[in-house]
Amino acid sequence: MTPFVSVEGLSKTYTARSLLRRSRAATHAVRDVSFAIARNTIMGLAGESGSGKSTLARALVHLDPPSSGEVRVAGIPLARLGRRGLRKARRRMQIVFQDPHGALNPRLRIKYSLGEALANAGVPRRERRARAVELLRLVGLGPEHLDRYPRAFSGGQKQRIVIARALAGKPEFLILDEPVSSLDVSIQAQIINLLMDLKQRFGLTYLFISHDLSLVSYVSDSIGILQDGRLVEYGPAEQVLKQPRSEYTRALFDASPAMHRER
Amino acid sequence: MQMSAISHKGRQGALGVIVTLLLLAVPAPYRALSALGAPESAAAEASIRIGMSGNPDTLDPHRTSGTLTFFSIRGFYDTLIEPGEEGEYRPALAERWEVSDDGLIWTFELRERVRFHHGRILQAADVVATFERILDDTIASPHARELRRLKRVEALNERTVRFVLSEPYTPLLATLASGWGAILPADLVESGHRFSVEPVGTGAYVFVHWQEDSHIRMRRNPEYWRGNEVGAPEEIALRIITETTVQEQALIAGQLDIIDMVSEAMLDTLEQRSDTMVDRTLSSLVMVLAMNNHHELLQDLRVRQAIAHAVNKQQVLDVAYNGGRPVSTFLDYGDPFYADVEDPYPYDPDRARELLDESDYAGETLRMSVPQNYEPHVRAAEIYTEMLGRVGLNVELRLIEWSSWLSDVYQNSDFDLTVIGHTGKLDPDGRFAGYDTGDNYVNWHHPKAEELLEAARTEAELERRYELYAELQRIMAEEVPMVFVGTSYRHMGLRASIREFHMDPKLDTIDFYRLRKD
Amino acid sequence: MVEDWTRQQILTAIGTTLTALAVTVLVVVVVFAVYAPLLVAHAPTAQNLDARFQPPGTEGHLLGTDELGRDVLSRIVYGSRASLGVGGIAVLLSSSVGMALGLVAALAGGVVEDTITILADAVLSFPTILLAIAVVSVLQYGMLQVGAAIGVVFMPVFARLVRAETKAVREEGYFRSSRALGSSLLRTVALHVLPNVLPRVVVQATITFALAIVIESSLAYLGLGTQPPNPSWGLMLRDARNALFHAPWLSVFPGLVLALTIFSLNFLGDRLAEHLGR
Ligand SMILES: Nc1ncnc2c1ncn2[C@@H]1O[C@H](COP(=O)(O)OP(=O)(O)O)[C@@H](O)[C@H]1O
Ligand SMILES: [Mg+2]
Repeated sequence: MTPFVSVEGLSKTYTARSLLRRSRAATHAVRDVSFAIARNTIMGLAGESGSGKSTLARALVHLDPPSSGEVRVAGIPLARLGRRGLRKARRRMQIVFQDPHGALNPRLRIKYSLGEALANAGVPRRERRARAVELLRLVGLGPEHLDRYPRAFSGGQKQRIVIARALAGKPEFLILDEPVSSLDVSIQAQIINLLMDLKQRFGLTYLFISHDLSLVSYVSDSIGILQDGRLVEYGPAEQVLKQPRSEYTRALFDASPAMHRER
Repeated sequence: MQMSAISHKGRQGALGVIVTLLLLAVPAPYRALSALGAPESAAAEASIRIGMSGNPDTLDPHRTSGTLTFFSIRGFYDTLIEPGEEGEYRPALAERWEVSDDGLIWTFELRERVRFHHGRILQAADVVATFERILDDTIASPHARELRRLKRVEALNERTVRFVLSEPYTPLLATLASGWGAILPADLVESGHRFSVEPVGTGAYVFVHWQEDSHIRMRRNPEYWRGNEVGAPEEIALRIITETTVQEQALIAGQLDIIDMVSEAMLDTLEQRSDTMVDRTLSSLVMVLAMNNHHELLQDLRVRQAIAHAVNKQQVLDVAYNGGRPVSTFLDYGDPFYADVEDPYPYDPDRARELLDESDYAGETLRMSVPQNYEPHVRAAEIYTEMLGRVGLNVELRLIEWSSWLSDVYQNSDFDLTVIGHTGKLDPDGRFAGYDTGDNYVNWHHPKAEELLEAARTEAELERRYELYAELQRIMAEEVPMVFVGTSYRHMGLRASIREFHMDPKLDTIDFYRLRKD
Repeated sequence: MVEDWTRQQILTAIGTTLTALAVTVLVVVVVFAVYAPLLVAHAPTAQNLDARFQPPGTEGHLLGTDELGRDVLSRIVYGSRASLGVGGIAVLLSSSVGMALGLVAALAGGVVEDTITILADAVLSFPTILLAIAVVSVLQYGMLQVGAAIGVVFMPVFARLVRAETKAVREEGYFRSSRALGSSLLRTVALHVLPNVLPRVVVQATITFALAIVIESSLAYLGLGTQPPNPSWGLMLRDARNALFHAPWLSVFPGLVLALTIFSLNFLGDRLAEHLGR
């Protein structure tokens, strides 16, 4: 079976740029990363803060163009799509960012935030309200929330709205970049359950990113571990959990509070 | 934040500009009072302080035609001869002179025992050096042109000098009597002395100091050849003050004895006060509303006549120029050669309308270009616009910079109408320069003009010259190449203690030698 | 505590009253400009050389007449057209072009941003009034030209402001989300950048408007702005300066109207800035 998402030798290097002096200081945020995700499975990506997880997520959907490497989604190399094609393709693969507070424009009522995504998905103006209500229902909210501003919602509710928005274009692939890290533990579980539900219901494929390896191991079918931009561990979840190849992975386990709890 | 930084800066900027505006508009006199200070109040009795409207561009008499220069240096220098009241000339450094029968050789006998400020005695060689300097290309004197008929200047002996001409040319005397005929010492001319900043002459006052934007100081010359009569001030200071209001307030406050600008609004005040007065002399200007005689409408005599009929000259003079005498021709009212021609086109709006109707004028807009820095001309232009509008002629005002006026209007004749004043020349030949050949900014040409001007130029006899110029003036009055509006007054404000104040309109300076203060 | 309360209330009351006054002044000036012909009995250029320097209160001339016997009130009313016209043109031009440049700089980044930034800084480093004089000398005089000149002078202010705001917005999560959602750049800018930038631009616009009026007056005062015989407040001040003691009303009234307008605009700009936070 061909994988739904495949990543080959992906690298991303940041260079500090200046018109007057050409600086050579470079950050190799992601180095030669390769992996593949099968349809309707979850790949977990763990690693310390600063290990390059978010960079990898952005490079994957070409929000920041990768320095080298190739990404294929449903067999199509993204680099070949061009700007307009990429924008269309992006609607089928959405990123949910870590911080739900920043992800919603505080000046816009919820209906407009959802409306933006619906407009991108080509939903005619007349139908947008009904579709927005539908989306809210999917994440456990209702039509009464449409006219409110983001500040009226709790962190968990905001994240639900962000997820609802991500679903507007009927995507097949979601990148969840630390989707629950900023939320209370009690709420984390609700959101995780919601995500699992949605995956089942729509046959979604996830790249689930977290610095918390226990969380990753809880949801993932396959797991990758990033260290300094390198994929130091990659394989089916059981294998990674039972026979970690690197010291780093073991250290991550030890650092993970939930893991101790489970034991 | 960025934002507040910008708005803050912006606000300060706005306030700054407002403050500048207010400074310009309101408390000017008070600034002046502090600027003038009281450093020489101790010596105030012995000195005379004169407000002057600007900096001279140089103090070198040969390198400029700026009127402020000649005003400033009048006390430092003498000329061979000086202009008289009737168009004749009087002896100065030259005691006597004569012209050969063919009009080609002028011989001048110099006065004895005249001393330059640096101690040397005046000799014929100084006169030769002076005129050779004017003709020197590196000096680039704007007055060299006037000497183009001069073949050579030569010293016959220590006290006799001879001017040899290529053709008879009576206006030579005017050049010798003008401010730029100032005699410089030959040794300093030789050594390249910078006369532009440190004048050295034979005059009644010796140069002391020039501080730009502030003052020019001079002290009495104790060895002056005309003698040192009692009562002459020990020192004269020219104070450079550009704002009229400031000058006026300083005069009233007693910080200046003489001012060279008086606004219309202040004339009455200064006259009525017991401690100030106003000197009113006819200037040597002719104010004109000039027309481009090549313009397709203005080449029609009827249109020019209509414009002349539309202008109430006395009213323009009174409102824009602080009063004056109307004229109908190209010489100023006080000129000895002025021919009192009766105005062929007096103020008559009805006649103006008729003439316009007869002409091809069909509502076109004529553009009136006015030098923006000469407020009286701008004021006059506003009045002309209204007066011409009343007889049905559309005029649009356009203020332009002085430099553009000189290049566009005066050099290239690129204009329809313009407002300007023509300065006086000692010899009428200077005023009419270019009007013989058609090479003048109004593009006026008349076959008779060339003939008359040539005759006057070579004629040595005064009476005959009067007639020739009168004939030309009659022609110009009839032809109206421009509306000759009038001669304005030159108003100077004086403290009541000032005596023996004499303005020479042609030289546009005060006679410093005679000036006294009680 | 009680005292604090009342003081606070008094301050608020004063603030509200001043705002109302400022708005009133501006409304009056706009009404002057728009309805000038209906408001005055005399044409602003109509001369009467037999009735010069009539003091305020003279029959038919509420604010007196000037050195050419023109009605001062009419000239002030018509003069508002020069001020508002120039201010309007300057603000429209500088804010629209400046905003476009700022957006392009912030969004394009790289050499484009550097070039725009350097140019803007270069223009800003000149004294405003000198630059305006230079531009006007090139463009020739006239309301449109003077407005354009002042507009050019203030473009960088808007460009810088908008660039800074936009760059801040770029770093916001919702901006990145919008890009990730696959919105077109136009949609992202319209939904997320403009609502953040516009309030700032409006505040800056009121300040610029005030400055433009002052500069117009200064240029007119220097003889570079409005062309006589047409009136402008600055031109009136210029013409009045030699009659300062003799006919003070010629300076006082246009000066007062000018000052009131400027202060009203600045005051409203401040209030607006406060209201919008930061
Ligand atoms: N826009 C950027 N410019 C320069 N360096 C960056 C940029 N974004 C991230 N980095 C660097 O790349 C590295 C990885 O960052 P990131 O992907 O955010 O890590 P993680 O998401 O795993 O915490 C860090 O060292 C970070 O400083
Ligand atoms: Mg991250």
